[in-house]
Amino acid sequence: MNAVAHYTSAFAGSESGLPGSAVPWLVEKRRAAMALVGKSGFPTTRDEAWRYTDVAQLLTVPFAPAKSSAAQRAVTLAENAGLADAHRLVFVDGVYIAEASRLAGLPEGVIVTNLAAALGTHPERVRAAFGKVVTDERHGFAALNTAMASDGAVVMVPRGVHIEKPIEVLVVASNQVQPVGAHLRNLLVLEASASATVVEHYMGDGNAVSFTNCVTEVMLAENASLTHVKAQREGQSAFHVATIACEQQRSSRFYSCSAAAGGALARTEITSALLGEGADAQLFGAYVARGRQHVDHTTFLDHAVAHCTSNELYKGVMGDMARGVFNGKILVRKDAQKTAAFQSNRNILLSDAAVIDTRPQLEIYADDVKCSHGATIGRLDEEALFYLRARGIDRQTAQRILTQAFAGEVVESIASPAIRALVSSVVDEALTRALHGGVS
Amino acid sequence: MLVIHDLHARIDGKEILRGLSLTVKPGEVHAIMGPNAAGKSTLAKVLAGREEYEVTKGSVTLDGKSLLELSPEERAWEGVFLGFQYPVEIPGVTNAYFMRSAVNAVRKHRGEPELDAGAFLKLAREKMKLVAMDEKMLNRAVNEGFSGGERKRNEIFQMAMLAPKLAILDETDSGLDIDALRVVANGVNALRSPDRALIVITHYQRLLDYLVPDVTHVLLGGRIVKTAGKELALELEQRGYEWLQAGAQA
Repeated sequence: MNAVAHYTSAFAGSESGLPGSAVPWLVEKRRAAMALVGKSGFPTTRDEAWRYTDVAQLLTVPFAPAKSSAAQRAVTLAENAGLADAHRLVFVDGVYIAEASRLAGLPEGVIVTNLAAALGTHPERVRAAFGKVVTDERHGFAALNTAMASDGAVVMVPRGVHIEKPIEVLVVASNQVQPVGAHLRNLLVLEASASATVVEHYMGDGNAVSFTNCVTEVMLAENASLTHVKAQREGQSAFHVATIACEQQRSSRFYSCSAAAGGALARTEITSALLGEGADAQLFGAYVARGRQHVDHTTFLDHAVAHCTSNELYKGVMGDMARGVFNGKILVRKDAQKTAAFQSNRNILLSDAAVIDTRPQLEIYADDVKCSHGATIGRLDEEALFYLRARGIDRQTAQRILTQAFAGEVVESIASPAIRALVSSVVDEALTRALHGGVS
Repeated sequence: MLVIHDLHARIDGKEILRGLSLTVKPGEVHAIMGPNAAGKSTLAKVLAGREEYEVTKGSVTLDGKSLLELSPEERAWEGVFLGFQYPVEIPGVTNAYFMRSAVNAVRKHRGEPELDAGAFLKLAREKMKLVAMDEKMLNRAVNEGFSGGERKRNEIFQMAMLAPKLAILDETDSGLDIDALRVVANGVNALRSPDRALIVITHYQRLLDYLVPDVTHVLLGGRIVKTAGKELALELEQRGYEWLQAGAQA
């Protein structure tokens, strides 16, 4: 059975159990999305945004929603992982785990809950956000997510409210026998001058074949500020497709940091449309791969109006036969005068067989802008390596110190010490594994 | 302590060291002088274990132990220290983290307990005084944005921290003004000890005014062509190296 037929049938089988099955607009939306998957299928390497990432293997596995309830082991794992001092929503195999979640002490008027609950308590608010930033036409996985989303995180912050503690969305793929596909839809809506920090933390219990397909839609109203951190550390047989998209109004700030370290294939797409003057997008990313891992960051920044700023820094370290992809595009539209947009992608290859495809792109239609982009691919600096070794630091440790310092520039961009420590540990663990040359 | 016998080494197929022999006893300071391309820096790098250089013949032993089979880090554990002519910048790694990693790696191999952050800082503060280094330098990235003088002070600070048996200082005087030169030389003098040997590689006699050697060698054409006392440096300053060229051709 091909993937489209498989998912069409899986959708038919699970539709009635999905959240919102009694909400007409959502039922209709899901069916339309599934029909679109049927018609348009999934992206291939002929699509520009998927040029270096072949999902053929992912599509051969008949991923299905989890049948059994979440394993206690995975719940325990979730309870013990992540940030100590944070609000938290936990999902195991796409299922919300209330008892592992922590939502007490939120400011008044703030909505932080799971999608299924929000459909009951705030149906109109959900409707106003769902599918507004990420349309089903974006790609087959986004449409599939609309159709199959079993739950997700909903964060809605009223005007002027600042949420002090980070909100952690902890997503665990458990060690199921059947390959589980989890589709989560996150909606982050910040009203004028609101601010929040959301950490999406993906992990795996064991090395089961799993598929996480998540979509995060972000709406930032005037002067709103979101810090969004994604830490991806799933097991070595995991497939991961993430679509994070933001729409920014006047003077809003979107900070994003994505650390990708796990999975057989992990693709993270991060986009933002700068729709109001003075909006600022800061995108950072660190990716580390080894064995035959494939890790892709695809970004798109759409400068639609004047006086917006954006900055991107993505850094990768690839060992063994791993393959990294950076596919980043900046579009500066005709009216977006006085845009300042910078993009940089830097890579270190630890072995001869490791590969990086980097494709920084600038498309500029305005004439009064400051834009630059660049990419580098190199090896660890032999001079620096010798310097450290000549002081008694063994080769492997010296390599670790140098690669950590290299990725450190990305990690250091995270303002919160606790979140920085989390991301740093994800990156450092991956670097240690990559330097030991473990083949997965 | 250090015995180099008939050392031949090459890089990219080109022979640089051509039968170099040298013996350095504990407590001694040996100056090695010579014109450009004589093989001075090659000697330093070969002793420290830079892998680009291929040793084709000869032996190097430190206290009877052969160094040539050892990796750079193993040589450091054995007590070899190279003061770099051009210390490398390492963005993102603080001097403190770098030195603590190094000191603890060496201590570990000497069977000594690792230093915790407090003990390390105490030791570092003490050793920084030797070269009048500002404590703030500990939190800066290794050599990043350091002036020439700061880099060389940092080298001597590292030497003080690692307490090597044998230190090879490769043109430590290059890029230093006279004040910095004096500071660095005084730092090195403070580190002279009866159980430590020093090889000072230099172009100019200037450094040797402050750091007085016991023995001076002339390195020319990949081998030592003349050995004498400290007065040789002065003679070289006046006469240059040409009068020695004949000996190098042999």
